[in-house]
Amino acid sequence: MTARNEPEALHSMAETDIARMPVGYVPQQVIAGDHVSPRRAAIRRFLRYRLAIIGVFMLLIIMAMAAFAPLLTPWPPNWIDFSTGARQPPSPEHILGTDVSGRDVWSRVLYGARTSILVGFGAVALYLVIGTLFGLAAGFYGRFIDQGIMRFTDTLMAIPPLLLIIVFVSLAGPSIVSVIAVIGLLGWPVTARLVRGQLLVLRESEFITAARVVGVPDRTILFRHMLPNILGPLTVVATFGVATAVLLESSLSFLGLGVRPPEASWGNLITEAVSPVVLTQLPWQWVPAAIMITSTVLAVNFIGDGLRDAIDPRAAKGR
Amino acid sequence: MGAYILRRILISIPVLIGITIIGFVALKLSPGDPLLTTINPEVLAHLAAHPELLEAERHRLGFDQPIFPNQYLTWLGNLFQGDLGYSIVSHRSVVDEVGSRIPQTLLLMVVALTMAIFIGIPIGVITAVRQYSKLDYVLNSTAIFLASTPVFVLGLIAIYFFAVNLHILPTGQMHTTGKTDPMDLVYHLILPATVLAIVNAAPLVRYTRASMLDVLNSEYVTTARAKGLSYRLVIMRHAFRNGLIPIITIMALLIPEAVAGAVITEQVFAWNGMGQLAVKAAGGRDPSLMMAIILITGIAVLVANIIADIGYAVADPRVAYDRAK
Repeated sequence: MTARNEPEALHSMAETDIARMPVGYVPQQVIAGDHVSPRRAAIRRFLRYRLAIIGVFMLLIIMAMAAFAPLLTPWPPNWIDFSTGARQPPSPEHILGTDVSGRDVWSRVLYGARTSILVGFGAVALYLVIGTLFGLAAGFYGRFIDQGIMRFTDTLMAIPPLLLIIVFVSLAGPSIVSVIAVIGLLGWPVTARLVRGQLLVLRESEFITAARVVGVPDRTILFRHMLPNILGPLTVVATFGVATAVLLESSLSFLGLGVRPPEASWGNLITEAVSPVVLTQLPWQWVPAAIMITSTVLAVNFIGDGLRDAIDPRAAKGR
Repeated sequence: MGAYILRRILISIPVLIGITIIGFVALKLSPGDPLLTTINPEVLAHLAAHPELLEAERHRLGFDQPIFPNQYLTWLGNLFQGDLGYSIVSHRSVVDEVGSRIPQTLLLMVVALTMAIFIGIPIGVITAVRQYSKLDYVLNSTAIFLASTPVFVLGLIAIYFFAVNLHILPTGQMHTTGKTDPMDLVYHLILPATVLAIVNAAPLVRYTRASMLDVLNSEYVTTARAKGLSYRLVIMRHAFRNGLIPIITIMALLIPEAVAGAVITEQVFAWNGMGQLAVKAAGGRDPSLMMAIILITGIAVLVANIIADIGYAVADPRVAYDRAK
């Protein structure tokens, strides 16, 4: 393999896998001649999928928290409870205490789930569409369209995503909508590369040639014959993308550049903990949000991993 | 080899131009008077009293011309003369502002990435060699868990334990006030560098493990073992060198993520580097400054990629051969 092909081939893998860390996989157990007994291998395989199932349950709980937030707490997230006061430890009234301004932390955690879920799914949905269209165009038409799109993705990928997003979110004005829009508009190169890579292989396959010979129009070949064949890997990329988007949003909000108070976000709940007093004396202000971020990202990664193994057994075996 | 390196550098040029275009667009999209971000604030203060002079200045700088390509080319020309404009917040020249912070960030990044490599790769090899052992399971799950935790949470937890509770390390900053000696700097570097190293080591563990497993299952390793070579020798001489090849590429691809991690780490530990500057620039909507930071990190990432490609060619002679043709 040449030096040039290798990094390109790895781009999609790296972007989906490396940082986002598909989680919980115990690879390799199905290879013939492996030094693990079949029973242990079976247990491990079960364990692997069990992690994915755990992930689904965790995500469902988090999504339920987001959806039913008003039913799960008597307090509006931005309402300051003067009778209890600020910085109060957990009590029967405020099960996670109150924050530095006297707002109910449990409510803010619940509404923070809304923010995270919205950003996670919204941004990924947006860039999936953009990335798929660009990827299809590049892979199907090839030549200068391909070159143009690929060089553009090179450029976007050479700039650390967080920085690029920080810049454009600050220009657009920090808010949940601009966070979604910016992640969505800048996050597509990975998807585009994946789709293109898959298409390059598909393009040479016999059923596509057959479709061409019969005179099927380009559009039908693209959307009826090719797209369904790449939905598998796309789902996997999308899942890991949600984990990344959740992390990005929380980082931006933590830095004060994403979702800003009074709007609730897990990231901006943790911002206060930069002060050593809050960090040590008011753990209820930031620990729940930290746990929520990690659980969400873990859950999504578990699911992505299970999906990848289920969709692409070769990847499960080979790695 | 020379031709190979040259070719790699040439391939990066369009990408660099792309980065400057993105930056320029950001600059133009930002609200506010472009004059503020372009000329020396002291000069501007003099001009402000005379509206007709301001207009003349606008005309001289070409702000009445089409944005593309005229204004872009002017901006590019300034860039080559080392003029990146002025910060609207600090009123200092962007070159001074950024230049004074590059060494700090470089120090943090280099130390953290070196640590990440020395932590991540050995652990990855161990988990691959001891596949399915308890050790593998524990190390792998830890890596997974750490990679799902945001950097700032790890940083805060580290501060909580080591700085606030145990009092053995400082909570942040680069120096204790009044001290400037290198030991003090090292003392302040330990926590941020370790946190950043852990964050970057986690994916390395996983990739090293995957890559080593691939190699360990290949036939030539079985052959080497069958010849009766010791397991240790086979792993170090036969498997590791081949397993390393994809890891080099992956390390280059990790650089943008590492930069993002550094931005947040600097913020958590009040480390006086480019990351902190980036957050400040974004908070103050300081376009010239943000632009310069994007440009510099973009170049850094490209350089890292080229170095990785060269490392790749060194580790795997077949690569250079292919490319030289």
